Amino acid sequence: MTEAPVLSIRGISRTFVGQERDVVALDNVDLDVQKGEFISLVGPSGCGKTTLLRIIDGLDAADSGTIDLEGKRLNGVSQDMAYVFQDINLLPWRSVRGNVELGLEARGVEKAERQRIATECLEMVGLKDVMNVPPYTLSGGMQQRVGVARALAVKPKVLLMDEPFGQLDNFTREALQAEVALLWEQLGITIVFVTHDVDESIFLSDRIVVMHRNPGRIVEILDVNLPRPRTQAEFRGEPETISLRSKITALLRSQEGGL
Amino acid sequence: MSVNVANVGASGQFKAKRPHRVRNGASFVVYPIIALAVLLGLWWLISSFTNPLLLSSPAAVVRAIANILTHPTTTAALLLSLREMYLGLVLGVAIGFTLGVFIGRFPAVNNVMSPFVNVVNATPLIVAIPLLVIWTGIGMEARVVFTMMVTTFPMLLNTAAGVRNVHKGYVEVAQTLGLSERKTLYKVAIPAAVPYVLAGLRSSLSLAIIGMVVGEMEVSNVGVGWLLLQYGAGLQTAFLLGLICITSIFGVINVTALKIVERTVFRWTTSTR
Ligand SMILES: Nc1ncnc2c1ncn2[C@@H]1O[C@H](COP(=O)(O)OP(=O)(O)OP(=O)(O)O)[C@@H](O)[C@H]1O
Ligand SMILES: [Mg+2]
Repeated sequence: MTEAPVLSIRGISRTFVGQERDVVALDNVDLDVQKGEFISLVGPSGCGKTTLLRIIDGLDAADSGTIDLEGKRLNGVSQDMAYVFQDINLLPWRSVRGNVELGLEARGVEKAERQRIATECLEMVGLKDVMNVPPYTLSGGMQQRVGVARALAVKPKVLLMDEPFGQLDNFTREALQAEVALLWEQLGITIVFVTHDVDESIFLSDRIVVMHRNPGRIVEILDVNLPRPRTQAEFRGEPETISLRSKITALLRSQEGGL
Repeated sequence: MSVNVANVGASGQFKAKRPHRVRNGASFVVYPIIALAVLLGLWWLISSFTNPLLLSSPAAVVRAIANILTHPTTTAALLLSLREMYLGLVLGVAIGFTLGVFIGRFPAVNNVMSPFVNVVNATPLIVAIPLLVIWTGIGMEARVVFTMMVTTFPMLLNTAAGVRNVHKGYVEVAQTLGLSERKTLYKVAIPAAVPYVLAGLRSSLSLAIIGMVVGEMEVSNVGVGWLLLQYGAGLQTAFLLGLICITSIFGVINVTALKIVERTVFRWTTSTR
């Protein structure tokens, strides 16, 4: 960890001005993300996880603070990051592959190359067979795989994922967690992952950022010292998992009713 | 489909469900046919003891329709009407769509245009006909322009609403993937507005027929409008009713064509949400 961080977040604050009261969604948040790291943001609903991720991506602007990607100050949406939304938002008028091609069209990649890359990315998530169907004919789990393929197609340096599996059933979620872990290992990309599922964060992450709400800030950053590759069957019983789980749960419980 | 599969697994209701669905499907065809038969029967019954000047018999109307569709003068009038209608419609829809996209996309354009658009839209456009005649004469131009005017507005308003109300999630997808403003407009916002555009087109289609007939009655006596006036003046009730049927068939053809386009080219608009 002596290398310079790929993502350097400094003093990010964001207040939403409301009619009755203002919400301090983020209060002076600092965070360094290392290259190739899998880092999760965990916290109660409303602690600013989504807000932070959106600000990192440039979908929302901070009131103050800076974000550097590989030493370069970011301004607006970065082409080097991709975002996976919880409510996937696949475009229904495009085929599955057409959706995956969208980011490549933005970059002016010519058609044959675009299709090649999109097909390759769909293959990575196991959806090559359905690349020509409309996305709304797929199950929720398959749709989110398309969401991941769409993000991967632009070869991002940092992949931002906001509770991507939050709406899926347990089995599908575990399958997708394993797939994402595998893709992350194979591709060597950096992933910032938002979840409020403690076990999900332990299974996937190198580090877990625990957040607090009102005002939204980081309370603790925990290392996950579990060997990889991890398996769903084994990691839950590991002493490291048990200890992390109780630490994180205690941190989250301590802010219950803290509205 | 998934409903049926679930039924099989859950309680073996497949057999009970399937015939029900088939009956439902058939009722779409059967009930209207029954209703039509009843209506025709009633019509025939009433017309058999009323003055044919007030209500012609179905048979007389069918004969009149056949006559209208075969006589060279009347077929020429119908074709002229259709040509002008589609010309006006295409122009109106193209202008309405283009302006709608700009108004929906650029708040500044919307601010400048919306008072104007609202005033014109609230005006019954028929009042513009004398002015149109002064400007363009009593030829085909005035009639086409009138149809164009009445078809522009539903298209404009719907398209603008569609482009303005693009689902925020789609826009954010475009943003995060780095689409330029221009690419976001034509790869995301305009496709997303298609359901609105189709709704606008549906209104424009029915207004086009009205525009056509009104133009032909008020600007210069040609086409269907002229025929209607002729038949009316001659108290030719059967021909009037026949022409009304023909005109409504135009409308049905237009709407059916649009439905087919919706279900093939834009199938996603009927398959999602
Ligand atoms: N556009 C907005 N306008 C007003 N308030 C907002 C807006 N977006 C977020 N907030 C507020 O900011 C706070 C943080 O929201 P955020 O969505 O980042 O939370 P979160 O940690 O992602 O929660 P969850 O786990 O429920 O997704 C919340 O109190 C929320 O109400
Ligand atoms: Mg959130």
